[in-house]
Amino acid sequence: MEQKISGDLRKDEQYLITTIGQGLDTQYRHLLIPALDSCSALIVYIKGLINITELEDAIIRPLTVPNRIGTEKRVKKITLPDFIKSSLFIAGIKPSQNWTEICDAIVSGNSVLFIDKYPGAFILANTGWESRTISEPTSEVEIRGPKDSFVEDLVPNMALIRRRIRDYGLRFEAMRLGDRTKTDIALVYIEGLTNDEILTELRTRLGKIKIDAIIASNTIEELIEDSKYSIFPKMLRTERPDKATAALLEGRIVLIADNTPFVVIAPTIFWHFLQSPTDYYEKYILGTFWRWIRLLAMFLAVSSSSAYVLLTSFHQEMLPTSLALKIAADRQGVPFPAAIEAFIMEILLEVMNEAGLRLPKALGQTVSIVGTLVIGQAAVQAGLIGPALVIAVATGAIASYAIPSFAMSNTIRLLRFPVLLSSALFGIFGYLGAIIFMTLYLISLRSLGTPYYSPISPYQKDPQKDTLLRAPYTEMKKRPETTRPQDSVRQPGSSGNNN
Amino acid sequence: MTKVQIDRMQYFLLIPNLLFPKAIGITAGVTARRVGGDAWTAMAIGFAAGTLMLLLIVFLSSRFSKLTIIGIVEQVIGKWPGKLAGLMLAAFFSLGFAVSANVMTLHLKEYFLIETPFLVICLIYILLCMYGVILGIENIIRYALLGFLGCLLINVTMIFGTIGDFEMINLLPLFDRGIVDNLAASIYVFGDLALAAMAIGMIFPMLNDNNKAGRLTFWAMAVSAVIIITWPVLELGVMGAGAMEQYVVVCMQQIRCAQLTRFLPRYELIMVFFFTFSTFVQSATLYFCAMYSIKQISGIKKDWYIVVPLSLVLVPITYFMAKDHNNYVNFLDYPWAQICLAVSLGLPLLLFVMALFSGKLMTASSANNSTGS
Repeated sequence: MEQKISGDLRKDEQYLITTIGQGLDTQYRHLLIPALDSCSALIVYIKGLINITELEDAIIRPLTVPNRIGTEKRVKKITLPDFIKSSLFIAGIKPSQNWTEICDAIVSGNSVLFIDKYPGAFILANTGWESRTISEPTSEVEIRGPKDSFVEDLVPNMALIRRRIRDYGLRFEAMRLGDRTKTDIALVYIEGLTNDEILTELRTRLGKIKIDAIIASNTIEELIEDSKYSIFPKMLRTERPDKATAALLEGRIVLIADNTPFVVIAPTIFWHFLQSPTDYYEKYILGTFWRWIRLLAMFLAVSSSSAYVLLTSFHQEMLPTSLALKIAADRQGVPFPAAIEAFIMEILLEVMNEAGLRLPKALGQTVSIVGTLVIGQAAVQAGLIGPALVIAVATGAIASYAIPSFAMSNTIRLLRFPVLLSSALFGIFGYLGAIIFMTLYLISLRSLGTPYYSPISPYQKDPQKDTLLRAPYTEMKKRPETTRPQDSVRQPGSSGNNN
Repeated sequence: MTKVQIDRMQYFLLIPNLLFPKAIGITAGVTARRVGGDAWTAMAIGFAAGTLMLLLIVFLSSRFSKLTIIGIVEQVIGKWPGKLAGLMLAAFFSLGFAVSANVMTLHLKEYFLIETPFLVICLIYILLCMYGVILGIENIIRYALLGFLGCLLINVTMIFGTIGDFEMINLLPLFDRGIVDNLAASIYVFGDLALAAMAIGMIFPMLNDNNKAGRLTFWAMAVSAVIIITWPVLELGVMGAGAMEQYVVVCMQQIRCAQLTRFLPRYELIMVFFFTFSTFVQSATLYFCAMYSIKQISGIKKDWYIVVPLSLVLVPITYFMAKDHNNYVNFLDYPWAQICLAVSLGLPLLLFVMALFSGKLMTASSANNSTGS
């Protein structure tokens, strides 16, 4: 791509055909410009990626209408780039003499104008493709709070954030990743608030990415996260602009990738996965209550079936006598040991879960009915499984859905299996061993250098107001120390109106 | 030294974790076998003396703030005595680890997993602690917060579950066996205190701010004493000295006496759930200290090279120490308590006296002052 633009339209067109091809979507449109003594011109664009109305009305019409009085006289006095800039009715016009830049502009959805005998081209920013309109979030539904969500386009996504933060320091740093996909990425942060070390670290990690394709933001997440083989998500994904905005205002960084409706937030701590925007849209006491309920849900999701197995197989004496007798009576005739029974049920549940996600909506109900009746009721009636186990497995499943982050919910569901296995092998010892192993591992993790289990361990006092508690706004005068923000004060000089 | 750093809060919370697991049940039982109903007063005396000993270690470590206790021996006495002290401490921590690990393994073997081979229990617990050591002392110590919360929760549930059966008469008269016997029996607390003291001697240089470390240590010891002494007091009040003497793991028996409402008549599982975190911190810290002692004297850089063979040594030590619980109790009675007393009092006192007379205590002090530490 080192060849220069010749100014000879035929040669330049041929070069472009060789480079970006002449497929169904790539258009080469020839024009005559009366204002330039009927000089030949060529517009190259990709159909479907540009705004065709804008092309006709704002670019082609002004160039081809012959009776623009005074234009010819003016053109003799001004340069060609100035003529183009003053004639076309679009905002983004950039002269270029670099083939790489020109080809990138075309494949990114811009039009490029070549004029005969001019050794350069004009990149015209008239991108416009069909895209989904901003709609309600589908995976992070909240009762209160805004109903908009990110879409697959970078520009509206940036606007969704800019609309919420009018701080002069809000920055959208552009970069392009993926040798073939050339995906546009925006690194979003607030200058003067976000910690420079964390920002530099993220830039360094992004700079090290060498890959052919970035299909979605999770690819970037995987490429830059700490402890790559860890099962726990170490960056938060969200489709909610309010969540991304709140993260930016805490001094964190948001990564928006083109073609992905989920943005990535870093650094992230473990407790963020148990928090939901609703915590802040309702009274603080409700927010705190829900956080504890989610923590309990996480515990139940990991432990319910393991608890059933270890209590029925190893430590029956720990159950109150009436309950132990009831469970024993219900299990009479069940052909499998409790551990096998639990494994079968857990796996069937995952199969149903997966099937429910893939099936068309119309068939989803069928799966629910078959799952409930056949696997639940019928299996119990047939004496293949005990009813207490059905309750334990269902409790675990429902509890896993109470976790606001889908990524963390999946992780927790997967972790049930090793915990169940070790409980089935060694009873309470196996269960405790698995819990210690997991928490120790969590404590050792980091997200962009920030301890993942902070502010609980290592303990930090002030961020406790917004970790497992949701303190009233009057008490949250500082930003969380976990992200080491440059400007830590949220409410300068606030006396805290407690009325 | 090392780049690992712990903060004051972590240091404060580590101390109760290093003392609590064994002291509440096994030490209480051993002491009760000696002085019956005076077990709690003997333990209280032990704690008072142990606090002074710990403060002496902290004083020395503050003076030589960048050195572990092995480094201090090298500096004060000489290189080879330092190596010898390192070797001795490696053996001490290895035995300490086995003592601590068996607190957990005996709880499991005698109350929960009666049919599981003891070797398997030992093996798994050692693997778990090994994992902690591989992740690093910083992560083990971060766990201390969970361990401490666990200790508080066990105490609260135990108090609520047993207070109804508490008989003050069981604790009276005070000093029934006389002061001398109480003093003599207080040495059993050193089985726990010595482990904590020597571990602090190894970990102290990692403290990121050792300003007023003595005061911090004192309060950590005070908190530890309160949450630990509560146990023998309630064990004696509920079960009585006679029953206490009959059991190895007295705290489990105490929990068996407890009843948290009609619906939770037995909560050993809940107790062991809270208890395990602090036991893990104690065991893993001692494991680390054993590994770190060997690392300091051998100069081996990679932890793995020490951790793997050390684990292979710790498995049989742990297994044979408590394969028969009578052997374990006898070992704690003699010679473990005496070894602990000798190490935890002898080594710091020796170092203090030698450093004082050789003038190195003052030199170290002024060097620290000049570097701003």
